[in-house]
Amino acid sequence: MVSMVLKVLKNLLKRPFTSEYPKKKSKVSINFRGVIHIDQKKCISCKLCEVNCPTGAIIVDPKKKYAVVDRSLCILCGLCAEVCPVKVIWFSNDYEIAEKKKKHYKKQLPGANPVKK
Amino acid sequence: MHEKIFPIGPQHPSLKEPIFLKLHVDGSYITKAEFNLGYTHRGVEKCAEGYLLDTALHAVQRTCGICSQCHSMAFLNAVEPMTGVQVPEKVYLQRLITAELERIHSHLLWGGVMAHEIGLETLFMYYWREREHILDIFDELTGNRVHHSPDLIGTAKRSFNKENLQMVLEKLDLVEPEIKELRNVMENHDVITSRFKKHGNIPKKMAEDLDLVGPTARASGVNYDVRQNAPYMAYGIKELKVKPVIRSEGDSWGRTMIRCDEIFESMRLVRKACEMIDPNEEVPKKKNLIAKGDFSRGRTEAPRGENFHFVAIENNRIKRLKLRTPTLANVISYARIMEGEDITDVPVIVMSLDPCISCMERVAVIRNGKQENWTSHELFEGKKYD
Repeated sequence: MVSMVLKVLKNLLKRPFTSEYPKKKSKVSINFRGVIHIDQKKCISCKLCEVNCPTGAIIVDPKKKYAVVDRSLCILCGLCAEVCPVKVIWFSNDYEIAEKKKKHYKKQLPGANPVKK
Repeated sequence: MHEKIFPIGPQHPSLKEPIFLKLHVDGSYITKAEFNLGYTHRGVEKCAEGYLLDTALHAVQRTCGICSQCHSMAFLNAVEPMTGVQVPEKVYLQRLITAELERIHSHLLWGGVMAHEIGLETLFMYYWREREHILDIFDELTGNRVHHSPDLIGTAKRSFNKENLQMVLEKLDLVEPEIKELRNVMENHDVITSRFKKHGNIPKKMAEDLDLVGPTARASGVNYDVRQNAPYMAYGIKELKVKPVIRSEGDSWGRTMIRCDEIFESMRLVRKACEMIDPNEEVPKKKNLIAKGDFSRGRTEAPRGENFHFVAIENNRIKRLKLRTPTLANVISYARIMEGEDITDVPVIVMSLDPCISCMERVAVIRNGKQENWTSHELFEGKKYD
């Protein structure tokens, strides 16, 4: 019992460990895989990402040379970025990825420039 | 006295995942215990059929949120020898660091849940605060806090650099004194010792008869650890030999202390591996590999025990995948250890085995209200009904 009381007393004098999330954004590392982005202009529609995706989240239209990502299916494994021969797929550091409607997940987000890792 | 049946589950506040415990009680003492499974399942096995090898690797990791790296390593243990790829030592060491950090994170999570079960909410918060530092390391090293997926067949997605290894060592130095204090609380707190000691006994003979695995078996004096008995990947290196923690109590308290001590053993391994890694070495690029042979097996020591994968391959795609997670080996002991216990000790006994029900359950075929057994041939071809 004494050990627990000592532990509680020690922690009384410390600052809170938690942060006020919506007011203060928490930091993530530069390697964090958040939202998937595809540079549509440079896509060669080779379909390697579509074949390798475990959940079928990416669908490539070879005629329009356009890849659509359903972000509600994406499991953020990062395999598509590995297999892409021209390296046009990258993951940004955003972690607030929830949308209000399901169709919004198919909309392409205006992506930032690829981060050098 | 009238014997009554006391049901716990499938949905119950003291259970995190669905399992049905049917307890025959006399007063408040349990005379007989039965349990029923099949309320949830994860269809990874069926889902992975027909997948390419790299795709299947990423699907398999999603079996468990807590021990995803151990599933990944078991799959790689099976597939990498078939492809004949030469894996550099750095990749093996990186996998070891991720797997051992995962063990620390799993045991801290379990300690918190255990404290929550007996009503020590403050201790629960303290455990999970330390876990948060370990999740920060995962974020930095692999790119995700929970499902890390750092592996590719024969290589890794990124190579750990000097700053990464520095961060790992700093964070471990930060959490180690705190975890020592938490272990001290677990060892000496009156509430914990009175509720844990001499409850849920598993004698050594029972553990051997039922083929229990992991910390549950080691708490009963069984010297079995896959990392020691069949070393895989970097565990075969002389400096990284595992010294498994073995106790002889066999009760809930023994299983608690084993998990507390395994954290320090894992920390030793991570520190040693960080010393051995060359931070300037780059990992090789991803290659397209062709698997030769029909089937293969792989096993690893997950935080809960032995993890087994069977992989059959046809035309470089998965034909059949079979996983056995450690909980399936351990869960059969529930029916035996609850006999003669008081009903108030059930949550502690259930949690002391560290069950991961959803990872364990594969599929239950129920037709017209009755459960059916299928042979492997029927599973491949699909059973035909008249």
